[in-house]
Amino acid sequence: MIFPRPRLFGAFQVAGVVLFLALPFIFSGLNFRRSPYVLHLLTTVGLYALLSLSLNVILGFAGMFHMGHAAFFAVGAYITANLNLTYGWSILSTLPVAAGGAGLFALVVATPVIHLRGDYLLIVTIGLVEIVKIALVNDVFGLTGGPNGLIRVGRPEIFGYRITTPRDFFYLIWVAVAISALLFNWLENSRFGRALKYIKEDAVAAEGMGINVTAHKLMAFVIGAAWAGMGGTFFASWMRTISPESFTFGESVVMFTIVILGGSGHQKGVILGAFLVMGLPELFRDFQDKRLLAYGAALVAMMIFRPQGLWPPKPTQYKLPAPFDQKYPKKGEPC
Amino acid sequence: MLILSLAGLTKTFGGLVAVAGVTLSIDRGRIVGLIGPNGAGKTTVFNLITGSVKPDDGHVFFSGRTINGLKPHQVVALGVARTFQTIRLFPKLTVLDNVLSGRHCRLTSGVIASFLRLPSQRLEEKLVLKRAMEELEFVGLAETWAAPAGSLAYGDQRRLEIARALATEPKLLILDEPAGGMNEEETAELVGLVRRIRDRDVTVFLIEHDMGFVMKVCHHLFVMENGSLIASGAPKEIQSDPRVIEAYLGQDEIET
Amino acid sequence: MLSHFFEQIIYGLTVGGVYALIALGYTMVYGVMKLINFAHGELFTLGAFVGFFFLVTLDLGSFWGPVLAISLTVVGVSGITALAGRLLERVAYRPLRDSDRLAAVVSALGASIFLQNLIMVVSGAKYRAFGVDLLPTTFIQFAGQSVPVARLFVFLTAVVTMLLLYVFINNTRFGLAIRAAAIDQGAARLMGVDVNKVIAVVFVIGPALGGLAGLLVGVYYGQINFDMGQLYGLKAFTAAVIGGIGNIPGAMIGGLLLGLLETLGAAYVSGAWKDALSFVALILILVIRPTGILSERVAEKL
Repeated sequence: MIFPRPRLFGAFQVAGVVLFLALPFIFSGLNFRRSPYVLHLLTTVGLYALLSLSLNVILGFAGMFHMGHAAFFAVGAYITANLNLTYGWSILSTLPVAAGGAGLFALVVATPVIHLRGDYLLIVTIGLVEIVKIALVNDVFGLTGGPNGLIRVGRPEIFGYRITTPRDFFYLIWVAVAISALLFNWLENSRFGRALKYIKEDAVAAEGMGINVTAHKLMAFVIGAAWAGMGGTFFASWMRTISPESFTFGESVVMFTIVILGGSGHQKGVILGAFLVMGLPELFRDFQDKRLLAYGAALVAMMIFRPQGLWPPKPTQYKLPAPFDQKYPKKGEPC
Repeated sequence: MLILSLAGLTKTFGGLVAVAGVTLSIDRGRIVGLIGPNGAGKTTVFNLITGSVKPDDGHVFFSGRTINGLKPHQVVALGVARTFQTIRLFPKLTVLDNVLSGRHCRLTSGVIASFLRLPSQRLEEKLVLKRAMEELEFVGLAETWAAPAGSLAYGDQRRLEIARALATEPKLLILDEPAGGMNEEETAELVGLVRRIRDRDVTVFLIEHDMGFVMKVCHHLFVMENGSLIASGAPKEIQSDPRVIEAYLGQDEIET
Repeated sequence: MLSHFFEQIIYGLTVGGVYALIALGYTMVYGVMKLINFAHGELFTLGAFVGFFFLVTLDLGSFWGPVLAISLTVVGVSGITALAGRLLERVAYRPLRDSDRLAAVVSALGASIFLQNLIMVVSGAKYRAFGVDLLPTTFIQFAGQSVPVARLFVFLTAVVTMLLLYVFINNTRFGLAIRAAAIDQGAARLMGVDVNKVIAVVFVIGPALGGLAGLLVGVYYGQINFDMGQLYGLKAFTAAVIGGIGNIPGAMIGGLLLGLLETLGAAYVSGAWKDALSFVALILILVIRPTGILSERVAEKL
């Protein structure tokens, strides 16, 4: 037996996931006219789910108020674009470099500020994303192409198969989401994930129990940033064009909102959040320019009425090893 | 054999001397009390030992090495665990999760092993649950393992804090007012628990205002007033020490 | 060369005066509520737009002449932003006063995003130009240098407003109540201070000052935009931190310092990186001397 072993999916959820993954084929079977648009939208949802899952490690698990995630996303995207355009690297081979680069960048910028209290950290990370954006616009080191960004980034290839169509990207992104959710789920229910949970609840008590709070916070930052960097790789090769306006404070707000709204600390909640924040407004096209208006109101309302988010995490379910499982059955469970 | 010595430990907070040159030693395997009126600097002494406050002057020797200047988590790793004066559990997490926090520093699984759920990590997780449940049985809270820590009765929360501290495998356990908020029956049980902790070869150093409890459980007492040590000795001697009685006059009476 | 330098100093003080006015709102709210009012930058924007409405849309100046028009606009701007500030506190902050500190921070952020986009939805995403020179374009001679009157006007308005606030805080009974609540809300309440009233007043004065700053920026630069408050807000917050957040004279000094730093940096280091400079300053201050001029711990409490 594996301990602890939280159940990942119930029957309904499995059915839902299968149905979701079959969507591209259902669309083409039905000759659905707006299929490319809907797939593009679902891929966008997927990308934001991926980015928000990575932010969730920092914001949800460790409880650090980080609103500059777009900065790490940008680092990954520009690393991939540069390696691909200048050195001809294949897209997927840039993935580890994008992750490593974004992680390293996070380590460097987070080390001096990691001890700051929540609201100050928030301000600093907002400052970070603004600085990165200014750097991108100013064509820092001649690597970012200035305000126009970089164009004609290549497409990824997997075992010789070139990923180009909306359907391809739908699967690429959502497989990445699935893998990330699974790995983060494992991470959450491990020594490391538990330590982050303790730090989020009470950092002083956690330190007093022998947890190196600074090191764990930094590690959470690096992991979240590395993942966002990989999100940047996918984004660059999907869009083919990247420019500073994709990596603004506004983008960071969107990711932040997704995590808080969906249920910070909970993978499934975050994915739900991505659907609500990125997907819902598309259903009402007229609503488009009022989207941020709604996010803002939602954040306020959420904090007042349901601060834990729509789908918050449940307490960790442990399955006790023998003989304790017999001696101390959980209430409500048969002996 | 000495397990802990403090030498000339001093700490001031913005001009206010909280601890003034405290020097004391504790033998391994004993139950030692630190008493004194409110504001005498007892908790600051504990904070100085555990590293959450840095001394202005003086040294803390633990098991033969200097530990002042170390961070709290490093001090825990060396074998000093503590409970807090005002309970500092993780109230929203389960009782079991709370005890697991104490095990953290004795586990080795890193981020990669956790990410990939390697076999070594799974084995460790299985063993840690077993160990945590044993600690809960030791303090008599095993039944409550799945409940949120914040839902426990006050006295149970105090015992849970002890279980969490014991899970770090300390050589020295520091208890800050363990009987605070407990009723008579719970305090009587606590005497037994502290003695059983000592029987595990864990030295106990505690602050407590309940003099009946202190007199019953401690082998040795140190008395502090205004940041300084004013007396030291066996409980019987302390009880009749005129300086101690004077220090307590106008404060709480010594309840026996 | 000296003249150029002098010009930069004057310009820096002008911008700094505006930062200082906005920073006062951050610092007062922080002092009393220990909350970073993220929506403060948007109240600044609101002030600019209300000013635009009075001076351009209604064109008060051509009916009543410049002096009466400006006076009416000042009253209107401060009144409406103060009202908005009160409303903000009632809706977004008061329900969260007893809950988790970070919940209030998220709510503040949500309110900021909401207000910014509300202004955009109501008045459009385009830049709005005041179209006319509302401030004199003349120069006066000072110490052998010509100083634009418009700059002097902005700077002096900011300074006079700040002095009035300073006198209010230090020499009135209510100012004493505000200072008491800033030190310890609980103790102030026990001593008979009506903390709710203090918070209400802080949320009137702070937004009114921010709104006035918005009006000044609008008439000085002649154009406004719905998201102008974001950058100004962050910079003013930086100014408040430089001066020591929660500290009123600190915010004034911090604002002027930041204005000078930014202008001189733009002139002598790099114009393109001007905005980044203030953020770098913010981060450096938080890392090296987080207490600013007066102490306020910003690291996680031990």
